[in-house]
Amino acid sequence: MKVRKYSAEYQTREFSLTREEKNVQISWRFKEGSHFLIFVYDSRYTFALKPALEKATKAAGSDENIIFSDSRRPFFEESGGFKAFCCSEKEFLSSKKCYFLPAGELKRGVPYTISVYVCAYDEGKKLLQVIEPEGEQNVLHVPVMVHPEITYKTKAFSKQKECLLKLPSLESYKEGAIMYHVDPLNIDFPLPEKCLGKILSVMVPKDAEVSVRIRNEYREFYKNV
Amino acid sequence: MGKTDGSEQQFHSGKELLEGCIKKLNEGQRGESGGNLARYPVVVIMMGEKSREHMRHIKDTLDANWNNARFLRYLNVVKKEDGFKCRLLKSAEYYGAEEKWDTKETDFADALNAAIINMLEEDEKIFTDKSSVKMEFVLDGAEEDGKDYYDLFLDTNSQFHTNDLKTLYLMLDQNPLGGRVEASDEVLQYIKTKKEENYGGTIYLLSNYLQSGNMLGKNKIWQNYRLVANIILLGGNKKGVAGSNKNLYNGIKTVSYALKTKRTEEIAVIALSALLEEMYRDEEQNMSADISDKEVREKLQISPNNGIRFAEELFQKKIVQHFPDERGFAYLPFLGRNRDSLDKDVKKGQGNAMGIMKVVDNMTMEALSAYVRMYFLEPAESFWQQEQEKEECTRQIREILNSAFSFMDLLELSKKEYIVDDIFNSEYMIKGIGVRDTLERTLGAAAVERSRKLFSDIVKNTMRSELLGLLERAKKHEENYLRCQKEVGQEQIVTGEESESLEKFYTAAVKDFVSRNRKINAKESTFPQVFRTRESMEEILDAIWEVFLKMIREKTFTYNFEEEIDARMNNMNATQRQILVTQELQEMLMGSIRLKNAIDVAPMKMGGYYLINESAEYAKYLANAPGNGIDFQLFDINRTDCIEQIEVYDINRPELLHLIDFEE
Repeated sequence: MKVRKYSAEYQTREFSLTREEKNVQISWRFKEGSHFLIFVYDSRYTFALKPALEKATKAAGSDENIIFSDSRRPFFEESGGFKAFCCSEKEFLSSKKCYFLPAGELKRGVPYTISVYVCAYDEGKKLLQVIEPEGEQNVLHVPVMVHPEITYKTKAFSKQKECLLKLPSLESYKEGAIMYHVDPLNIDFPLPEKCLGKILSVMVPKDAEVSVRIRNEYREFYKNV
Repeated sequence: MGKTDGSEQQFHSGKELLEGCIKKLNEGQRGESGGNLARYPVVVIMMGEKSREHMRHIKDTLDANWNNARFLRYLNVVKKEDGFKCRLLKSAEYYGAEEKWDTKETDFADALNAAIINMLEEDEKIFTDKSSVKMEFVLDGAEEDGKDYYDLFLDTNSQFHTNDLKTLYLMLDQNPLGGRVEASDEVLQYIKTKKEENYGGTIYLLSNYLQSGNMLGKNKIWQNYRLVANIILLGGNKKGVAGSNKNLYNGIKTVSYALKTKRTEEIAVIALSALLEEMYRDEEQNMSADISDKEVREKLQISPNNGIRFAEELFQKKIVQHFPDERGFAYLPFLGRNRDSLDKDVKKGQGNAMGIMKVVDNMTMEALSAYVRMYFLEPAESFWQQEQEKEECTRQIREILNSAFSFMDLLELSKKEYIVDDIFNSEYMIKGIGVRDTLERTLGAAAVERSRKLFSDIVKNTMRSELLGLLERAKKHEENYLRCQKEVGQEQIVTGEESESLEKFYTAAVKDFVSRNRKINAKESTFPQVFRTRESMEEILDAIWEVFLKMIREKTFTYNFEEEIDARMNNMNATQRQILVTQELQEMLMGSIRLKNAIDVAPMKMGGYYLINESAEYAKYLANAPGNGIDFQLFDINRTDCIEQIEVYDINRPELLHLIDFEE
C-alpha cells in the first residue's frame, strides 16, 4: 500500500455512526474511490497512518490479499493497537452506502476512534493507493457512554441534602476525566478512578443540583448520557 | 552596532581594537586642511601584487595633504597570460576591510587612458595645470616578471598631447631569503641597459636595506611608501618648491629620509594597555568583597521563612486569582460520616493542615487530590507553559540577577559554586501550615501551600539556571578581557629612553583619567558598560572602545608634536627643543639612504626638503634659518604630529649598481 497526496475527488464527507444491537453502522459520502480502509482503535492509542500501513501490508503479504479480504473481519490486527478492515466500493454501494462493523469489535467501556481512508486500486501495478484526507473529516470518535445514577436524600429541617452519586467502573479510565458539577456553586469536582463503581455521598445545599460532566480534553473518550 | 564616533567597524580581537585606537589617535593629529593642491592630474599605478598591499600608505599621505586628492586615480596592473590587466581603485577602507578595487579588468592602456580622461574632464579648478600628466609607477623589486613590468613603464605613453611626467619607484628588496635580492638585482641590471632611452623617465631606488645597515622589516617598510607619497607631493604641488622641482626628476635617484614623529602608535598602545589595566584594578578595588552565603541570599531576596520574594510576588499576582472559593472543599465526596469527627478534630486544633489533608484524601478516595490538582496545581504549572509568561519571568529574573551582582561579585561567586548549590537545594517555608478554624479553610490553606511550593520550585530552578549561566558568562567575560589585555600588551615594546618617558607620561595620564571618573562614595562600577557581564568578545571590545574615545578627547591626547615633547620633557624652552629636534633628525638622516650597494656609488646630493606643518615652532625656526631656499626647501604638510626630512641623491654612475657581490 502507498500513501498518495491529497486529492479532492477521493475524500469522505458526512461521516456518521449509528450503534445497533449487533452492529455498528458507519456511513459516508464520497465521489471517487475503489476501496475503503477502515481503522478502528482505542482513542487513547496514538495512531499514525504510514506506520500502520507498513505493518498491515507486511502482515497481509500483498495488496491483492487486502482487497479480497472479508470486509467484516479485520485483515490485520495489532495487539494493543489498531484493527484494519477493507471494503470495496461495490460492497459499500450494495449495502446502501453503509459499512457494518460487528458490534463485538467495540468493547464496552473503551472509547474508540474509527477512521476511513478512500483508496484507489491500480490493477496494473497491483497497488492499493491510500489517499491522504483533508483535516480530520474522515475520523469519528465513539466515546464511552457514561450513565450516572444520581439520587438525593433529604432530611427534615436541614439546610442540606445528601446526594448519592454512582458512576460505573471504566477500563483504563483517565483520572479526572469525569466530574460532578454542583449548582449553583458552579464548581466541577474531578473524580479519580477510586471513586468509580462506588456510591459517593456528597452533602449539598438543599436547593442544589448535581450533574455529571466530561472534562473538555476527554470528550472524545467519554460521553454523559 | 552604533558607536558614538559614528563608525561601523566591529572589533574581534585586542589587536583590531588597538588598530582602531591608533587610527583614531592619528585622525586627531590631522590639522586643518592647508592650501596644498595637486597641480597636475596624477595617476598612481601599483605594478604587480606585492606593491599593491602598501598602497594605502601612499594614498593616506596624499589624501591628508592635497585637498583635491580624491580626484587622483589609482590603478593596479598585473601581468596575466593574456597581457597586462588593470583594475581601478573604487575606494579605500582599512583596518580589517580590503581596499575596494573594481572587479572589472581591462587592458592597461585602456585603463590608463580612461583614468587620464576622467581627470582631464574635471573642472579647471581641480587641476590647474593639465598640460602635464604625472604617472607614478610603483614596483616591488621582488615582483615576478619585474623586467616585463619595467618594459611596460618604458613603453607607456598617454594618447594625449600632454607632457607625461613618468616616475618609477623601484622598491628594492635586498632580503637574501627567497631569492628576493636576486630578483631586485635582475631588474636593476635590466634598467641599466636602458640608458639610451633615458630609462623611460625618472627612477627612484628605494631599498629596504639602508646605507647604515638597518633593514626595514614588515613594521617599518611603510616608511618607503610614505616616502613615495612625499616625493609625489614635492614634485606635484601647486604652490612652493617650484624652482627646485628639477632636482626631483630625471635619471636614477635615491633618497635619505628622517621621520621624527609624535609616536602616536606607541602612545595608543601604552594608553590602551594602561587603560585596560587601570579599569580592571579600579573595578577590583571598588566592587569586590568576599561574598558569603548570607549576602547571596539577601541579593536574591531569599529567606527560609518567606521563600523567594520574586516567586511569592508573582504567585500572588498571577496564580492566586485562579483558586476557587474554599467552600468548595465542603462538597467533596466523603465516605460515610467520618467527616463529623474530622470537623471536631479541626475545631480542637489537632494536627497540622498537611496531615489533615492526607486523612481527607483517604476519606474521599483521592477526590481531594484530584480537586487540588485541577484547581491549585494545574494553574501553577500551566502558567510556565505559556511561552510569553515564561520569557517575561525569565527576563525579570535576569534583571534581578544583573542588578544584584557586580562583575566582581560574579567572579567571586563562580569560585564558590557550592554557595549556589546550597541556596537552591534548600527548602523554604517549611514551618508548616497550621489548622484553621474550619476544615474547608484548613484544606484551602494546605492546597494553596502545595501550589505555592510547586510554583516556587519552578522559579527556584529557573533562577538557579540563570545564575549559573551568568556565572559562566562572567568567567568568559573575564577571559575575553584578559585576552584582549594580553593581545594589546604584546604590541608594547619599550625600547630606549623615549619609550620609557612615553610610558611614564601616558600611564600617569590614564590613571588620572580613571580616578577622575570614579564615583565618590558610591559602590558603583566606574565603567559599568565595560564590566556589565557580556556574552561576546565583540561587545566587550565595543565598550572599551567607547571609554577610549572618551579618554582621548582629553587635552593630553590631542597635543601636536611639539606640545607633546613639551609636556613630556617638562617644558623645555624653544631653543632647547629646536636643538633636540635638529640633533634627532640628523641622527636619523645619517645612514638612512635607501640603497646599500655592493660598492659605494657616491650618490650626489641634489636637494633637501623639510615636510612640516607651517604652524609648528620648528617650521618657523627653519623658515628663518640661513639655509632656507638654498640648502633646503620647506613644504607645509597638514599633519601636526611629525617632521620629515628628505634628501634627494642622483646616482651618476649607475654602472656601479649591484645589489649582490659580483666579479668584474
